[in-house]
This record gives sequence, C-alpha cells and structure tokens, in this order.
Amino acid sequence: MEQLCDTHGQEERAIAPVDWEATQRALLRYLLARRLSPDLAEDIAQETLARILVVARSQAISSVYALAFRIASNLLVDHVRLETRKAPPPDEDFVCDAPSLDRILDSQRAFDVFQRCLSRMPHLRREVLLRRRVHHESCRKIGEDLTLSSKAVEKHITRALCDLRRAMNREGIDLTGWNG
Amino acid sequence: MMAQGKAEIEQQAAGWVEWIHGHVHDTETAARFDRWIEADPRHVDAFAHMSALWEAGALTRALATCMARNDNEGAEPPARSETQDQPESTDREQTPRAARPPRPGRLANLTFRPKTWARAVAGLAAALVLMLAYPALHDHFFEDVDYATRIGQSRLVALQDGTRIRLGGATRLHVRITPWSRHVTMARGLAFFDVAHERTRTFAVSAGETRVQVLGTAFDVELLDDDAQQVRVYRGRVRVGHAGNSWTLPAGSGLFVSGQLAKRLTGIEGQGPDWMQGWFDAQDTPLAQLLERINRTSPVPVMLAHPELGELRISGRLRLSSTQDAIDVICASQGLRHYRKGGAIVLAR
Repeated sequence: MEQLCDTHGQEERAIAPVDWEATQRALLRYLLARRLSPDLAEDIAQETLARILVVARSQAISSVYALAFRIASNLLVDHVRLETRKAPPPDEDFVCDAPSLDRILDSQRAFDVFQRCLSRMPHLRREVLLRRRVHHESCRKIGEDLTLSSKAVEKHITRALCDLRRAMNREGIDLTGWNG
Repeated sequence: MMAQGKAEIEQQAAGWVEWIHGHVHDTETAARFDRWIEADPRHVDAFAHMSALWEAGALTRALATCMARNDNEGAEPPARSETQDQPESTDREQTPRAARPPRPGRLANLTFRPKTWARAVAGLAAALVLMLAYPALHDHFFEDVDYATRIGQSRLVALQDGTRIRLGGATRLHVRITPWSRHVTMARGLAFFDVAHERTRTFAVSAGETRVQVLGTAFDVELLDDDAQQVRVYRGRVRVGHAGNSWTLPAGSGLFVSGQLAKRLTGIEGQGPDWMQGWFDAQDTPLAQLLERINRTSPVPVMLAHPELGELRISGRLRLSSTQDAIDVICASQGLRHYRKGGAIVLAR
C-alpha cells in the first residue's frame, strides 16, 4: 500500500484535502459493482475511510481513489476468506445474500473459462500476464527479459484482461449483474 | 467523455488495474487516475469489474495450471503453432524460474540506506508540519467516547447527534462519531438505543459478531456472552448482520444469535424493553444467561453451585429489580434451593 502514498517531497506540497463524500460515493459504487450486499459494502467503505484517515494524518496521498480501492480490495479478500471458513448456518429462516462477484469469479466455471481463454491466448501475452499477475514482476523487468518495451508489456496485460473479460461475457458469466 | 464506448472504458479500466497493482506510482499518473474515476461513474464500475477479474482466485489457479503445462512443453520440441509469438528467450526463461531464489521480502527494505532514511525523516517532518497546521483535524472528525456502568447502575447518555442510549447494569460501550458514520461498539452488557434519524449518516451497533444497522429507530442490543447476542426492535426497522448473513427486523420482532444458530423472536411489545423498568421476560432462557442478567443489577452476586445448572431453561416474567423475588421464582420453578456464602447467593439442587 505504501506505493500509493508519498513519504517524500511533501514539504513543498500542501496536502490536498480529501473529499470524503466523493470518496465514500466512489467506494460504495465500487463495492456494489463487485456485487456485495449493501450492508457489507457500507461496512467495508467505512472501515476503508477510517484507514485512509489514519494514512492521511501522516502522509500525503497521491491518489485517494487508488488507495481507497486497494484498501477495500484487501478488506474484501479478508472478508471472503473468513466467510468461506464458516459453515453455512442450519436455520431455514436465513436470508442469504446473493453471491458476490468475487465468489462467482472463484468458481469452477470461471476457472474453466479462464483456462480456455488463456490456452487460446498468444504465448507471449500469456507469459507476460503470468509474470505480472502471479510472479508480481514489474513491467520493466518483464520487458527486459522478453526484449519488449515497458509500454508493450502494459499493452499485453491490458489486452489479456480484455480478452478474459470478453470470454466471461461469451460464456454468459455476467460481471455487471444486469446482463450488460 | 459521455460518448465513450463500453469497449474503450473497459480497456482504460484494464490499464488502470495494471497500474494500481504496479510497483511505481508517480504523482502525475495518480492524479490522472483520480480524474478518470471522477469523470464518469461508469469508470468506477468498469474498474471494479476489472479489479475483480484481476484478483480472481480462479485466474491465479488457471495461470498456475498453464504454467505447469508450459514447463512440460519446455521439455518437448518447441510447439509449431506458437513459434511466431514466442521470443527465443522464453524457453530459456521457463526452467530457471522454479530455481530462482525467493524474491526479497519486506524485511529487505529495512536495511540501512541513507536515501531511504533521509526520505523517512523528511516524511516525519512533513507530518509534524501537518499536525501543527491542522490542530483541530482530529477533534473535527472524531468523537471517541467510552461509556460504562457498574453492577446495578443504569445510565442515560445523550449523544451529540440527538441519539439517546440507556445503558443497563455492568455495561460498557464505545461511541465513535465521524463525518460519515455513527458507530457504537458494545464490549459487554445491554443497552437501549433511541436513534436520531439522519439521512446520510448510518447508525450501527456492533456486539460481538453481530452488527445492527439502523434504518428506523428504537431497539435494544444485549451481549449475552462472546458468542451470543440478542436484538429486539420496538420502533421502526433495523438490519442485523451476523456471520455473513443479514436480516431486516421490523418493530415487534427480534433475533437471538449464538454461533451459527439464529432464532427469530416475536411478540416484542411496548415502547422499550422491560429491563428498563426492572422486568425480564424469560422465554426458554438458560439459567446461566438469566444469572448474567440478574448479576447486572443485583447488589449481591448470584452464583451456581454447579456449572451444569446453567443449562436449566427458565420461562416466565421475572422482576429483576428485586434479586430476592427473581431468585424465589427461579427456585420455585426449578426445585432449587439457595443459600448465602461469603457475600454471595448460591443456587443449588
């Protein structure tokens, strides 16, 4: 997370005041787009804002939205992990929330779609995505190894993501939640 | 900007997702990202979908399996169909990857490097300047207050926003008000909330694993123990979340949760809970929980001779404001006796 805030070069720059309302709005929209229940979205949004506030007290934030989305994602991962560890409750009276996008994207069906799409991808693109996503290598490092420019590496990743997104759509796994 | 096509937005979102997970974030690009997010709400949606895709567990697994397959391919002659895309260095790269030493962890960053330390010192100085410049920042954003009562004590608290909380005996809770939220965390005990209605700021109460979110107004929350909580609604509606599930409770209903078990309560009547007037309606309530309640108001601690007596179920209306009355009713209904021992009342067979 440190990358999203600067701890240096602040002296000459006044801190841009965080627009809490806009950040909260964007966060809620972001979490609802990931199809969380409104309760959970609100919980995570609030916890995220509280954490941003802590960061804002000691560091200049270069992108409040980037920081917000990263914190929210991390909280979401923690939540999903906790939730899957708990067995479903036995009472029939329970009204369970619809599966979140993250759960849908973690399913066997999604795995099959990803695998098919990856196997059809040009080898180089798959290699770039693998190094970037799984090995967390920087675009520069990947570029050096594969004799590509950083820009070309970025483009491969963008294309790979769009390919995967389209493959999902084609298989009827709708990410938007309203058949869009 | 609004004329932007869906495909174009998706492509931009993918680019930003790649960037946000990157190693370097220069301020200029960061500002551009914020502008992009603010420009169109569809950008947030597309970014959220792409992020979910990037973080998908199934994608990691799928990539891992194709990595395994590629490693096998490395042992075979190069595949004919893919030579076009494949730079020669790729195959050489495949095998040593597994043998590569693990990437340096975060600890590596702590080794002494003059430049890093200079930056850290500069950062600290800047933070200090900030705190001097905005001394009221903390007070303006937060109201952090603890409220507690002793055994047998009851206390009415009026919050800044107009909400009133009645604390029962032996109760402790923490109130935290921020510009965007109103949040009470109960550490123990029970409390009745009469919440001032606000359109933008939600009011939430956390008690153990249970979270109550207010849509309407009057309810009480009881933290029976670490694992069991009870919520009863007297006016309006509340939303209760527990262990990943949620329920909307209308006035006149309630919910008892314990671990994975949830039970709906019905017939919650009146303006507020009986305990505020010193009464308690036991409905198949374990004796241990009943004693927990009694001990919140009783001047003399009440104990059990054997812990298993705590499993006994009690039903009926008890006057908790008089410990002796309540104990007489319990003993009569369960065939128990009671005696005094070292300043406490002990219940026994």
